[in-house]
Amino acid sequence: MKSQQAQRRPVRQGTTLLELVAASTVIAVTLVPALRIMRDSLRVSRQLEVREAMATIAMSVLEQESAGVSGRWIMQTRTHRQPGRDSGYPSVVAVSTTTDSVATGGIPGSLAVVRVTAFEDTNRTGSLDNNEPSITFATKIAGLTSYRFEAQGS
Amino acid sequence: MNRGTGQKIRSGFSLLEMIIAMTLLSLVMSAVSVVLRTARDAWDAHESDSVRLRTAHASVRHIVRSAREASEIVNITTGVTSNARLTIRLTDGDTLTWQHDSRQKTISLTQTSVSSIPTVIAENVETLEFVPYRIDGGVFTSNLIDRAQEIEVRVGVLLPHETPVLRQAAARVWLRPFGRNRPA
Repeated sequence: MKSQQAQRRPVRQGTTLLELVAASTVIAVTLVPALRIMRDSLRVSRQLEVREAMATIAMSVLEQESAGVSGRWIMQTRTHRQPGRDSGYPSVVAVSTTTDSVATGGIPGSLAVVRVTAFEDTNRTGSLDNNEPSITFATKIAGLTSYRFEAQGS
Repeated sequence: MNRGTGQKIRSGFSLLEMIIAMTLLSLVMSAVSVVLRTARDAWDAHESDSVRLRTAHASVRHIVRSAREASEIVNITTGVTSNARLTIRLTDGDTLTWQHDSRQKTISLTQTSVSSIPTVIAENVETLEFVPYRIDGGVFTSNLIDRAQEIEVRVGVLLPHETPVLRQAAARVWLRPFGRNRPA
């Protein structure tokens, strides 16, 4: 009796909704990674932008410190806070070190090594941490009398 | 067996199923297109900003790199002016001139050893500024502007947001005194 009723029940395909759910799932599965890639691209692009700014800042500070040591021959370490404030990068900090010690490649009184590290101080501690992006530029400046005369001429 | 009962076998989709399926599909596609369009707009805006900022940084670095080798400042307009200009002479006698065109928003370079016709090296540049400094970091105030020992180069670009934002790239250059022509 029961099997006769079952046979009379119309045969329904009944897969449309299932197919639609499957299709939606496929779309979601492909869309989510695509959006994630785009988000990652934006993040990487932003990181590149900050690194470009850090390179410009490091170059600028290196020029300033080189000029300074050429005129005064003062060996020092300085922290330049917010050198990129006007450029829209207030979190960038630059630390410059000027030394004429032999250990760093200098010659006391004659050749100074100027090293500048610019970094994004994401946690606002003022010092470079392991996970913070940084860039370092360095140069050497000879202690020339002409440089000192030039400085006095200002 | 079924033939015996006289029941007709239905195959395919009913109209109701098709309508529900089409409605759900259109909803899903609408949502997807909105998400994709928003993401695309965000990407375009960021890309546009990025190109202009790169232009600013590249311009600053180009001028700084060349001005390091200057033996003389031939001509300089200081402070915020339209059509700012810097001309330097190199040790080999060649001269380089950077000129901002505030109307065309470009920076052009003229190198006399190459051509007397300016070449546009940067576009969409809103401002170009040169600020002279003393070697101790103080602002240079003398009338003898050619004796400035450092110059800060500032290039401003306008980021095309709904509310445009002016962003600057800036760097100083130390004018090394190698063979500089000094007044007696």
